[in-house]
Amino acid sequence: MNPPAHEDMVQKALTIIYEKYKTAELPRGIMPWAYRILENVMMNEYQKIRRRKNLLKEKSDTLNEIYGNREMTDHTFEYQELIHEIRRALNRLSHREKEIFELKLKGYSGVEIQKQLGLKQNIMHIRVFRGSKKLKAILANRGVL
Amino acid sequence: MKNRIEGEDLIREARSGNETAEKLFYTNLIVRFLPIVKCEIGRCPPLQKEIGCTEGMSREICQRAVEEIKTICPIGNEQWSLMRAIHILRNITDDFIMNMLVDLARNGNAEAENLLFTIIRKKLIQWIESKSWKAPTR
Repeated sequence: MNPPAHEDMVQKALTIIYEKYKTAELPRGIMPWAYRILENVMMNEYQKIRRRKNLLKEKSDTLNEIYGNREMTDHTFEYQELIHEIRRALNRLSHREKEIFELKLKGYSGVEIQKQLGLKQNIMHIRVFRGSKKLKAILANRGVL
Repeated sequence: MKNRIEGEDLIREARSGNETAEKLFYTNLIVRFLPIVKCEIGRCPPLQKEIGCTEGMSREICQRAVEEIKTICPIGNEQWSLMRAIHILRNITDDFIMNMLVDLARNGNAEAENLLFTIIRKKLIQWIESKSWKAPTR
């Protein structure tokens, strides 16, 4: 990772430390605790990156399934068109459904999205369910699926 | 034997099992450590304001460091070196300073809180950078 990413992670860790140091029990002093927090932040960041990679892989697998394993790179016309169709379909969802899908595509986990949008679990599930149903219908209607 | 032996002679005597020399050696070590600790405390104005006279506190830290040195790498041990001893002293001083700053910050001292987070940030950046150096070799 590059130094700006380091700075970001340290900043995140410092925010957590600032929020909790007044009430935390620090039997071995503050630094071992601070290092542990930074380690957890780093782990989360690496997991996010891994999730994003897996998501991209899943997407490319789906595309392979749809397009019969034809080679498709970011530059191919078909790929661009597919992305365009997906974006168009996303724009037709309600604002609340759309923001969930956009965060998911950015690699956030369900729990993180819930926290960020301040939603209850069941409400988010309902929105995801309705949103995917609509997406499938729109994409099927456009001949993508 | 001279009344007061210095440097290499003193170390040799202490290593040979002369208890007086060993005691003298550790006393000298405390004297050599004192300015380092005073300087470290002097770098933290909120701490200095709180403690007032740093002499007693510095001596206590040096004493604690020497006790630690006696258990980790005593003079009789082959691994003993002044650098290692200074390293132990610095760790103990850092811990002490951080603990004091945490206490002050928890009691609402804004200056101590600022300094505490500046030090933590510096240490975390050093730590994360040392990690990234090691990462490719794993």
